[in-house]
Amino acid sequence: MKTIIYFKIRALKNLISKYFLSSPLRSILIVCFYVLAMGVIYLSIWGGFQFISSLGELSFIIIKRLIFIIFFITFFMIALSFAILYYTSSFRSKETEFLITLPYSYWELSFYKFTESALLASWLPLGGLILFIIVYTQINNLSILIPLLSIFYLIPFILIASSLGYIFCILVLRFLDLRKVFAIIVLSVIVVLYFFPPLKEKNMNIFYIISEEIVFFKISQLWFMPFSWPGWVIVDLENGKFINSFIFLINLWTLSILSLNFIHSYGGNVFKSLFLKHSVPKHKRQYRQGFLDKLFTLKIFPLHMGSFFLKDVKLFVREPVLWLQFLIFFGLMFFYFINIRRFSYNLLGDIWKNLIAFLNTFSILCITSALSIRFIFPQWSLEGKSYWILKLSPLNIKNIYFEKFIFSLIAFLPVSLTLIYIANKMLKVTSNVFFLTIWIVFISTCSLVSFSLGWGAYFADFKREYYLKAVESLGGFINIIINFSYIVVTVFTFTFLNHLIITRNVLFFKKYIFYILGGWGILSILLSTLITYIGIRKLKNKEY
Amino acid sequence: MVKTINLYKSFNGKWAVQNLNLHIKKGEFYCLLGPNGAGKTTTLKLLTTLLRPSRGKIYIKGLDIEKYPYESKKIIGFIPDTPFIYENLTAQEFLTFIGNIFKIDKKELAKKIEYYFDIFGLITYRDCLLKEYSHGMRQKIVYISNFLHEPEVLFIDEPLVGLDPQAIHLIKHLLLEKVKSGLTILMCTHILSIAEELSHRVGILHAGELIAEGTLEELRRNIDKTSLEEIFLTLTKNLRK
Repeated sequence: MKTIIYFKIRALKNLISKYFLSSPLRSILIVCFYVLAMGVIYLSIWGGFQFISSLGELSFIIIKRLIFIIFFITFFMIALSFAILYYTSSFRSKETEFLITLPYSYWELSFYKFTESALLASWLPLGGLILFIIVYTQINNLSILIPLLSIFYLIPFILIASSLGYIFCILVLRFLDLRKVFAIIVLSVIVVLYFFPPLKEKNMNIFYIISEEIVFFKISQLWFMPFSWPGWVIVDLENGKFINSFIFLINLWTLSILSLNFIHSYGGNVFKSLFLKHSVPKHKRQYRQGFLDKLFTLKIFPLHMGSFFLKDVKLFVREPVLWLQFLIFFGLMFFYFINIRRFSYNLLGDIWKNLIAFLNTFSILCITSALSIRFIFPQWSLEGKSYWILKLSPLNIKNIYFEKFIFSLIAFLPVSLTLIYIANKMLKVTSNVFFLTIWIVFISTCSLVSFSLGWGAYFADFKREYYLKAVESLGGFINIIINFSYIVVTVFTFTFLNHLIITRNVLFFKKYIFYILGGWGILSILLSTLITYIGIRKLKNKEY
Repeated sequence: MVKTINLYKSFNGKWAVQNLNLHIKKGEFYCLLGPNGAGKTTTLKLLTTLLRPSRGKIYIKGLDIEKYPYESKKIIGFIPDTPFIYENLTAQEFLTFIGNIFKIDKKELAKKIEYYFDIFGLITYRDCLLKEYSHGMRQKIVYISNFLHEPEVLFIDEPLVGLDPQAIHLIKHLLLEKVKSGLTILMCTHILSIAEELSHRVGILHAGELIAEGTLEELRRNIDKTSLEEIFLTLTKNLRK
């Protein structure tokens, strides 16, 4: 197994040196961008913490809860990413077919694939977590040892999350039909959301709202759940409860070693049976012309555009790895709406109302951004080695780009607009804020779609066997930074303007709010056009 | 029909194709031979706009493909050695997609698809996903997709990889028939017997350079060898030394 890992590292080294030698300036620029991006993320987290600190005594509670929420979200993100990566790299991979022919045992292969998937699924969240812990330490004037020793509680945390992803992947592949699993999860989420009781007793106390009404906060702190353990390690250390902190650390390591031992012992057999099950050709299923074919051949769009739509829809629907990622979306939605249902927004003061309404917009844009990075960014890489078909078609690349843009917009706008509509209705926001947030979400969704499609085109890699790895690549990282920066700037600007209108009744802003909104819209369109132009230009020059 | 003038292509400073001057007439079956890494596939990719030349010009039916890429793409077809196609589409869907891109009339397209499915023996698999197809079956689908829009120039990279004897026979027959009716073919292959059997003219490429070109008769006369295999081996061996 050491040999495979050694040569994988060699291959990576060769790739990096080839990249560097082909254009040293570009490589230096990319490194600079990485450093700059880290700086931006660091400053964003810092800014966020500073803002929360300015909320007075409440800030202490919110900051404490935030650390648990970050670990909670990261835990499930890593688990799901791991499950998808493990499935594609183990059972849909040419590399596995090659490795199987080599004198390696199944458990070695299983363990190697586990390590590879865990690394790929966690490197980006790990970076974010470390930055978050550094800022958290500085804001709370804690010992520098907490970030320095973070690796001791983050490694087992990642291993446990990956093990959960592994178990989920294996169970689904072994016993369940992917479509049924997806349908069951989605239906359960809807049912729970519908029947989840709103709080009977309403309370104006913001401390009460945060501790009792926001379910997210409560669940993320459950002491017996592994996702809360790193948070408890830090918080107990901070409070001087060294024994408690140490116990949580021991818990993390014990569970991670136990999981690894389980995978090491049984993983080989499971890997073998699943590989054989998935490598045997299945019964050839027949797909006759259906509703979709009829819909897209209607003369709503030009024929070639309809054909592209149809192709993209079918490729998406028939690729479980793609639509399974919607589970992330439904997971986020679940907690999001449960929190809103129980939230006593109408009892809050104007300042809090403004803040919550824009925080809500921020959350919806973050969800839209996460979805656009997951689904739109890899759209070009999804063409993969079949890109030669598009490249040889007698169509301008702009037309194909435009088709993908319209397709993405048709899929995304209803989602984001419905979310902001429902959330605003649940919160019972004022009509001004209602239309303002709808406009912001509309323009931002168009921009986020453009950014993801543009960067996806710029960084498209048609030779990559697994297009989903594109999301974890440099291009995916850049896309995350740009989207996040755009959302932060947008939401902060309008929150602040509205705050000024509410608190100081600044007439200037009230009078010119429409011009400001228009100006921001134009700026967004310009930025989107620029990234689109960069993407199309790169695609035109891209060689196959 | 196909003309290249001083064509060059380099990858990271190394020349893959050097000073290539091809001139292929309408209705001609031209075969490009060469050892591995000679630049055959690169040449085909340059001619089909999949790669951009480092230097030089390419004309298809008098059109500069750099200036008129869309017009020239309408009249060319390409059959790569590895048939990468959309695996999650059925054969019927994939061919309809290609037909719609080339704006083929709906009824005519349906007729053509039916005809080619029939002669390639794929009728029963038409509604199966392409990922369930074997390499040879996929290759057949790529052939059909190229025959649908009736290109005037067809570029083929290793024409018979993975095909069964029946399919090989059928494809040879189809290609020769289409050449008779005016199709121009530029084919790259390692199988010298195929080149000997089908081509009007042969070009031998070595390290990106065209080292010999002509009809089989001309090559035999110049090199003083009888079979194409001997000619090929003599030429490439001399250069290796």
